[in-house]
Amino acid sequence: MRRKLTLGKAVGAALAAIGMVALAGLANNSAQAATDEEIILCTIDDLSGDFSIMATPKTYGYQLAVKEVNEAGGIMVDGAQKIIKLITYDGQSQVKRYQELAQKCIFDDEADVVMAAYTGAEREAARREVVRNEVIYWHNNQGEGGIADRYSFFSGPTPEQQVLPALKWMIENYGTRMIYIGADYNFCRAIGMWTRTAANLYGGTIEYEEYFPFGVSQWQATIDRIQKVAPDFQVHCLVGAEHVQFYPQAQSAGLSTPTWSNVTIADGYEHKRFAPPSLANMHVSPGYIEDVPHENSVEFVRKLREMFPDMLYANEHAGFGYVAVKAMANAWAKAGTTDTDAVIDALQSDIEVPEAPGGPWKLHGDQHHGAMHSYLFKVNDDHSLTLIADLGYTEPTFLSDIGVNMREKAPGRQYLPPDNPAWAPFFEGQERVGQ
Amino acid sequence: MDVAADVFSYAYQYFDNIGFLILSASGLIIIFGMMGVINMAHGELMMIGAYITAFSYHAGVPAPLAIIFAGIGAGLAGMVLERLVIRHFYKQLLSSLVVTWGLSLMISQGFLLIFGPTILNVPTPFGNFPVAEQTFGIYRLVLFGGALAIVAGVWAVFTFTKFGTHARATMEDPDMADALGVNTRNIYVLTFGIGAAMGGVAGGMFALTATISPFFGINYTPLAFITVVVGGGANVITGLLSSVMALASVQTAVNNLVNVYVGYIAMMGAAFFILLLLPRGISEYLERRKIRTERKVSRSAPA
Repeated sequence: MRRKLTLGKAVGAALAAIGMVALAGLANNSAQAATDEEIILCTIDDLSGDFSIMATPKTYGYQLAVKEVNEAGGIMVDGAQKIIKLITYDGQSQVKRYQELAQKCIFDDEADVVMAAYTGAEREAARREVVRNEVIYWHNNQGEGGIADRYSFFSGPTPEQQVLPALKWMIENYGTRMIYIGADYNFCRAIGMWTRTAANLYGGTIEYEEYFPFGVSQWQATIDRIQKVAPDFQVHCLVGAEHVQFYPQAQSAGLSTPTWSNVTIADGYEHKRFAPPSLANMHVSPGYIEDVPHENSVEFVRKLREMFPDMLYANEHAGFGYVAVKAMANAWAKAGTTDTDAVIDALQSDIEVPEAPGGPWKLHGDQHHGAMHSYLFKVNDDHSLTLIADLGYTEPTFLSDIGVNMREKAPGRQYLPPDNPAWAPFFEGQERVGQ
Repeated sequence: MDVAADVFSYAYQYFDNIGFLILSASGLIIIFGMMGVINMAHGELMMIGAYITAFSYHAGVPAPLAIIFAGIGAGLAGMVLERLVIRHFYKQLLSSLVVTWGLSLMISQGFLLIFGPTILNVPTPFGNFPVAEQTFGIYRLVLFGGALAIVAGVWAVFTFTKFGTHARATMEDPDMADALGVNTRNIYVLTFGIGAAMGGVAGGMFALTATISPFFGINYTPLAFITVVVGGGANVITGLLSSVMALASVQTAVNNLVNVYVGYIAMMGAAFFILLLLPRGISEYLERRKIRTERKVSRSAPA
């Protein structure tokens, strides 16, 4: 009897809590209803949970860019000078939240543009919802590239700017034998394909390849296996707070082979979070991080620190969140309206962001991906970073090589390296996964 | 030569996995195994321990002392939680689950608000040693040793001290213990505090080999529960040891035969299978078998 009562109480309390949340939601909505004087930028990022480390600085980039645009008087659209209203939601590092919140952005807030997600899984949850409703979507950190969709735009670097030039350098400088370990989801599966492409293009071999679910935090078996292979260098795509436990464990086990990773440092600034020397000999090739020695970067970091004095590190997310808002502001100004089709036309006319923190950035209108600089850094024993190679200014050509031109027709799908006929032979006999 | 290295590598991984499971579960064997509280915030107590260790270490405290601070801090936090919240939910499994889950969210999100998404971890001490072509970290073995020491300590406290006897009596029959003059209220606070302190020490030891974030604990809570449930409550120490030996051997074998992903699933599968056959855990089965053989012996013996 007693248990029944408490159960009843518990259910009652739960219902009351749900009611309060619903009420709070309603109050929120009415407060956020769009006014005609504002352009609505709706963003969804992980402010809590596992990925908050990576995604929180991205919201700093958004806030700085919005502040700059608004302080300069806003944007002249549809016959009035309008300011950008930034609405921020917390995706809580949970994929399923992204679909719900994307709907909230579109239907409740009537967003003119939605910028959302860190991981590829989150991105697809949000992106599909946004493009289905014909709203402009932006993803603003590095991605696996190849998405050819009318409503989707990408500010961050792709494997063309990262995997290919960086692995070419690694093979030339360390040797040809590599291993690949990565998280088991679409992004790292795709990076695995790009790694295979790089190995084939530049004369390397992949001696061991394995994928791990999120949440794996004990790496001893893998460390032993890598030591047995004894590669010239390692390629990593380890994502999230659990996966990066690899580094202190590998360091204490004495595994110190040079490593290249496109997610470490650039996303999670692990060199600031781990006690040295756990990340010594790590190589990363970001399109932007605080250490990039460009004059734009110095200015960007100064302004960001002024606004957010507690910021630990300006990562790639901060940089490309800023770039995306600036690109949209330029497109709205150029289109002179917030009408979606007109803004897409403006975006497809090769919008430029000369003040991008990693150096001038330009959107390729036929591909919806950016041309940008990328840089190869090495982590030293004391966790300072040394720039060891400027990987140059790389134009994205992956989609145009396949024959996609989004100014004419957007196929509305994603392409991966095996879709490039010249690269298809690299994947013969390989299982096709990750789609 | 190669075979010897492989055997060593498997053995090393086995002890590493055992140490990991014991440390994850060490506080919970008391809080859940003895007291019957489903403490979903156990991982957060470990997280508190990890934070205390990291802050103390970076303030210049030597690592072993920092870990002891972690135990004291997490123990005090546990006692406060017990007095304020947990004590209202003894013997109410479902309610304690919901309440402690809520606490877990509040503690981790609270840490996120106060300390931000991440803090600097503590360097792993001791370096490594070579076996054949490979090198192995020494600290992982220290973790294993520490895990055994904690288990031995718990066993000693609950077996040989007056407090231990009172605690076991209170968990068995609180009303009778109360009637016999045991201050059961204090016993509950102290027992919960000891469980929390053990969680804190474990968190502190992991802080030397893991990254530290407000969501540090999420990793450990499910494994801790699986380990304790598989072990069963009849005898928490034998339960814990038999449970970790079984789970770690499955995990180690499958990790190396197939891969880490399948190894993790195989460990969960093994837990499922053990509970299907022995729903009350391994230790319950062992106890019953012991009683049966004792009865047989006493029956066959002449009166």
